Amino acid sequence: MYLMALPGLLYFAVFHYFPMWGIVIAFQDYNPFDGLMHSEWVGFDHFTRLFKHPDFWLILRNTLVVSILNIVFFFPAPIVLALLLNEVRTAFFKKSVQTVIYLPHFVSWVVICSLTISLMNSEGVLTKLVHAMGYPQLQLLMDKSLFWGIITVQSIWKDAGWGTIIFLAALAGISPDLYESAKVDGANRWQQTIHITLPCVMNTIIILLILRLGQVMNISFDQLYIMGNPLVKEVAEVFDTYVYQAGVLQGNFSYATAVGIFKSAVGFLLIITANYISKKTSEHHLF
Amino acid sequence: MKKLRFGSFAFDAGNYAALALLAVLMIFPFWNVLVSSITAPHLVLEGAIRLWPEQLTFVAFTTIFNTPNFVKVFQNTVFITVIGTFISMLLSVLLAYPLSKKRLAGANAMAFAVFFTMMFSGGIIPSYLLVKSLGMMNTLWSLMIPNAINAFNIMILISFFRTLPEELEDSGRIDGCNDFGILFRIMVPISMPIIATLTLFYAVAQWNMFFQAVMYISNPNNYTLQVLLRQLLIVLTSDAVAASLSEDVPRIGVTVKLAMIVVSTVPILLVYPFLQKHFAKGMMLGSVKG
Repeated sequence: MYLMALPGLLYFAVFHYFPMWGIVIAFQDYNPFDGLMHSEWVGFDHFTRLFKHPDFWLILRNTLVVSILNIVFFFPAPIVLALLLNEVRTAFFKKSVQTVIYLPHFVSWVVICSLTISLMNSEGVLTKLVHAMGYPQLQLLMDKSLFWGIITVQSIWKDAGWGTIIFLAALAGISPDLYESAKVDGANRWQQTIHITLPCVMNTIIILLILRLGQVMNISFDQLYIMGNPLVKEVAEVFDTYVYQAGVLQGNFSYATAVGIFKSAVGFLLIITANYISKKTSEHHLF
Repeated sequence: MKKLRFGSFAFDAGNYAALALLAVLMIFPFWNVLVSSITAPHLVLEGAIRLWPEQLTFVAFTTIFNTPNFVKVFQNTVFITVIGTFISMLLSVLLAYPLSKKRLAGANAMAFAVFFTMMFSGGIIPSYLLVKSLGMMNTLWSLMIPNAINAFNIMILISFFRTLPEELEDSGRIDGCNDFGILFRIMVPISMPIIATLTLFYAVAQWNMFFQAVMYISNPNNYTLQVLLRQLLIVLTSDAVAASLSEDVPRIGVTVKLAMIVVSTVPILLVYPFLQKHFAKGMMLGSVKG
């Protein structure tokens, strides 16, 4: 039995726990030639540099704004969609719609961004459309004021359909008896939805919302990296793209690690807090 | 009563219409790309929305397939998807099964160690330096090994294995199977829905992988389709390059990009219907328990 688990445990030790030890380089002036053991220790220098850096506040703002837009607009979308699907009585229609709306989830961000770009570049159909309607700008993708909106719409388009799965599972678990007795009492479909369906899936909604709050710091690198361009950098840079830029491309390993630690630490705190809140407010919790 | 019925009917009509419209919004961009990729380039450049191909031509696809490193890139992507998914599934099943045995000493601690990695990580740079020091830079292994196991999938597998009756294990032991025999001859076959689902998840993640490919691969011979598509995107969005494709060279750049989108999307979408049968069931199990 232990032999069976060995390769997997080894994997976690090497690729997850060993890098956790690697965070010591954030407190050093890491130099690849001197290695981990011989690089000079600098204490919290990289962190003070980070907090003083104007970029830091930009990244933090962008991360929070994109996450909050996601929670406000993307999070409710699958719930509404699942409720609408649940009202569909024609099995064939329901199944077809489900198959189609799951599809974008399987497509990479590169492809989704390519589609967006070909719709919205200076010759794109959408650009021509909004231009005809009187919007002056022709370079929609280089417009800072549109960037966050585009990112949010992309996320909804990609994963709102996929997100319905978990809610549809919860909806399928509601006892038909409840609806029967509601009908006897003369409740119409709207009243049934408000008084039966929603309370029954409320727990699922709360749990998922709390889990989502724990992920505020995590924003898709792929999406932001591909959609970003020099003109929208100010609104597009988030933690992961910044770490990649500063660490991998520019070789400031120690500084970039410090940025990564800040992100991981805040993310960790958020998850712990989210779990604590869900423990207090309902019987559901993760650990 | 009659008024109520009418309200209900109006809602149904509106609901069906809204969902149908949504489905169209989800599928149409793909259809448009597919159709445009086999339409004559000069028509595509005019930028109209089209429902059917006009002046049917496969020039964009032949251009792609004749590009020197395209075949290599395609092979790379298939390789990391097939082999990577296999490695991932094998390691995941081997790890999750012992961890699902509550009687096994240390199983809970090990499960927690796996779970903890979902909450805290060393970050991008330590992982990058690790891959570098292991000599995996610029190899396809860097796209399969560092991300071989997804902790969330382990959690799903553990909770699924826990629902299986223990008598199965006992009967296997009576028939003389060892632990590996029990796992692969009894447990895996009856866990097909969940295994198919996770296989799909791993395969999609491998095929669509971008971040790691950007980080670890700089040699064009080891590119994957997603990276190549992104390269095309950069080259072809700059108007200067579009203009430099002179009059006599057919302006196929625009359809090449579309054909590239088709090539890097369709193969993974083809996997979906095969696994869908299991997958609807597996996803429910995963989502309810997980």
